[in-house]
Amino acid sequence: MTGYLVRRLAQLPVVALLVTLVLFVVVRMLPGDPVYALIGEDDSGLTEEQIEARREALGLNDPLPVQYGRWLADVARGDLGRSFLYETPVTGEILERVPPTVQLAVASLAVAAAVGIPAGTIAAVKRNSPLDVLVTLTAMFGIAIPNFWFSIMLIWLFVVTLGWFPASGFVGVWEQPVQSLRYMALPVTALGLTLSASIMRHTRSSVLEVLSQDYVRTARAKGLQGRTVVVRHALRSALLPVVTVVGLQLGSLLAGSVIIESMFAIPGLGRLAVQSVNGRDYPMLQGVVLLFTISVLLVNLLTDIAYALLDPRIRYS
Amino acid sequence: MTHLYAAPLLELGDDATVTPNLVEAWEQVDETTLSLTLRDGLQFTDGTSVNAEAVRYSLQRAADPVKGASDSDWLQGVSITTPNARTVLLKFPAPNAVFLEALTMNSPGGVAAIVSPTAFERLGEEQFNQQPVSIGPFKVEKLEFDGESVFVRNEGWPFTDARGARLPYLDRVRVRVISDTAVSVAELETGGIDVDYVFLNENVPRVRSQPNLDVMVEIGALEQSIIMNFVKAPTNIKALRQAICYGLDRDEFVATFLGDLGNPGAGPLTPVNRAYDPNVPTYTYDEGKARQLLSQAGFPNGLRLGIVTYTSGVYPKIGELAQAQLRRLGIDLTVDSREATVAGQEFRDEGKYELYLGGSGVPKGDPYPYFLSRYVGALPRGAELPEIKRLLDQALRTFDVEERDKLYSEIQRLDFETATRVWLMQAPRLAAHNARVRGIRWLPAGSAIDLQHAWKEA
Repeated sequence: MTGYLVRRLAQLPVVALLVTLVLFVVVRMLPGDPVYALIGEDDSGLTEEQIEARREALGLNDPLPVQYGRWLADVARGDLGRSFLYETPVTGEILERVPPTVQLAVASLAVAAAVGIPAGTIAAVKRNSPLDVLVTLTAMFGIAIPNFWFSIMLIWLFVVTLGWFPASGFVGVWEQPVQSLRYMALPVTALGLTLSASIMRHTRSSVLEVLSQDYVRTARAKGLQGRTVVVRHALRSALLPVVTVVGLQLGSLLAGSVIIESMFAIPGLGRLAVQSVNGRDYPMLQGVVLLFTISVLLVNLLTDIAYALLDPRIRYS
Repeated sequence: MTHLYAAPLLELGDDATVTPNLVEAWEQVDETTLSLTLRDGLQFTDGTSVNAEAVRYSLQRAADPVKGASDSDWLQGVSITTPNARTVLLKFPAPNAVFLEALTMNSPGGVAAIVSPTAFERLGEEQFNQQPVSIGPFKVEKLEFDGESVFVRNEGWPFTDARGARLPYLDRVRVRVISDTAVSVAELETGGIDVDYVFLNENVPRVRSQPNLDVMVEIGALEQSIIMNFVKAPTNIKALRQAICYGLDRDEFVATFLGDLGNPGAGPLTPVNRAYDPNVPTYTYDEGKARQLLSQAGFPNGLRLGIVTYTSGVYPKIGELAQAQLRRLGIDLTVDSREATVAGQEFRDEGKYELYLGGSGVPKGDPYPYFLSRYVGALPRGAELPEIKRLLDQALRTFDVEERDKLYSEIQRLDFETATRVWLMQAPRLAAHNARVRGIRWLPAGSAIDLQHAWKEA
């Protein structure tokens, strides 16, 4: 296990380096000139010389390998560069946007697990019943519907019709907990419920598999109640693969946050990523995507470790 | 948001003439010398004095070609002196008859945004950009370009209304960035916001149907048009461009997209601008004439053309209607949608398309910068309109407003003659607001909403 961990940790910088290269190239391949994105397309009164001066000031006239080398050297020192749009350090801007995204992600994951695991378990226990069909259909619906559509439906129902929640905005959970819950209710529901669909399906398959195991049959034969068999015996084993699924949801969470944060005007990393793409803010976009990538790599590693710790049968070599 | 906390040196009145603001008097000493006299007793929100030296400092900062104002070019070579604490003397290398009006623009990044030199030196550029110190009806409490910004009443703002009451009336203004229009309308309907500044035509009926909401409409504040690449074949043939101008039915565009919120395009300017000339000839739909010109251009059986437009808003649909209308003439138009930056680059720099569909604001004041952008800046690479450029140069040297407007009329006539653009629609600038919010208006300079005279009824 220790050897495995060391190897995985040693791989991280290599993967991260490759990611920086791919990221740098892909970002530069985006059509559209950052200078025009900065000054606005139609209302620009700038001369060619002024535009060239701005391009030079942003370092865009240097050859790509030089730009990459410079950025990489800065990243190695912990400096992600300066935002073209905001003219502030990227690191500071990203750090400011982390709390809303973390708050959204953690709450959404909690909702996803709280809904997905019980629903998947019930569907498995009531296999082929109308309840199973309902849960499966709901899961398919959850996987299929786009986040933005679901968000608009939630806003229509809970904001416009019922007036229960605000439509947009963000308040930190440590600043005003109650207000924060009101603001997070809809975005968390939109993101959490769509994520729960995948957890629900995996839980159902896993529980079904475990329910057919000998030890479950033995537990039943011993006269244990159905609920005890499911909760204390079957579910504990069945949830192991679900841990992996939950861990791997981080990628989906980050992707979902891009849409949800834009819809609900949450000033998080997802929204920052969208603005960086629209504004061709190369340093900011590189910084945000790099952070996303490293987060996913680390969470994948932690998931593997957690899996091994939870299931003694797993042995990494 | 800039206008809330950084008032311009001068203002544009409702009649589009320059009026005093921080500067109370001015004199065009000669063709290259402009004298500005500041109002007495003005203070930045950090308590320091708004004096001539601060204006000089701010203008020099705005002159930086990289970090300065978007119209920093106008300040190049300008010598700025301060004979006394309230007088700023600007000496231009060449006559500039429209510079004075540039001082009414403080956003985005216009030359007239005045900063506190003390605060700027103390905070440094980076921190200053996040906590700007200037003078305006409000001062910054919190500034987040992508979140919620809060502005509170500037108690030191010296202006009063006609009854002598101190301005502004509002104690506090919260500005939120909501990128999805469906969400912003929901916020407006449920009282989450009072004014929806970025508002789409399609939401007007819904808002108008609610008695507690209202819509502010300024028809003609925007134009939507198709620019033709007149240095690329086949749109380098004038008869073809004219055929397209005659072949597009602007009334149908207005009926489809604007209803009673707009008018057919009739030229580069609209009636909101003081230099708009209704006597200049315009293109109107004439299919027969279009067919005749098409044959004259050498395409009696039609041809294929490409148009690029934005992915956002209603533009792709406008492109589709243009496609349908031109099909009647046998013109097979391919419509591609791109992000605004990419669309401009592919049309202007790369010459990938013959046509470009876009839109922009139409100024109320002097149209010189607008014309410069339309007829010089936004042209495809290698394209020139020398006659219009000559007239613009002449306008810059013409201090008599009536004489200058005659030059602008001539430019509008040349626009018709050269047929480089199809002016499709005079579109509205829209804002929806809670009906209890009173006293708001569009600022005559720029596109912001003036909240200085706004209040909210209980």
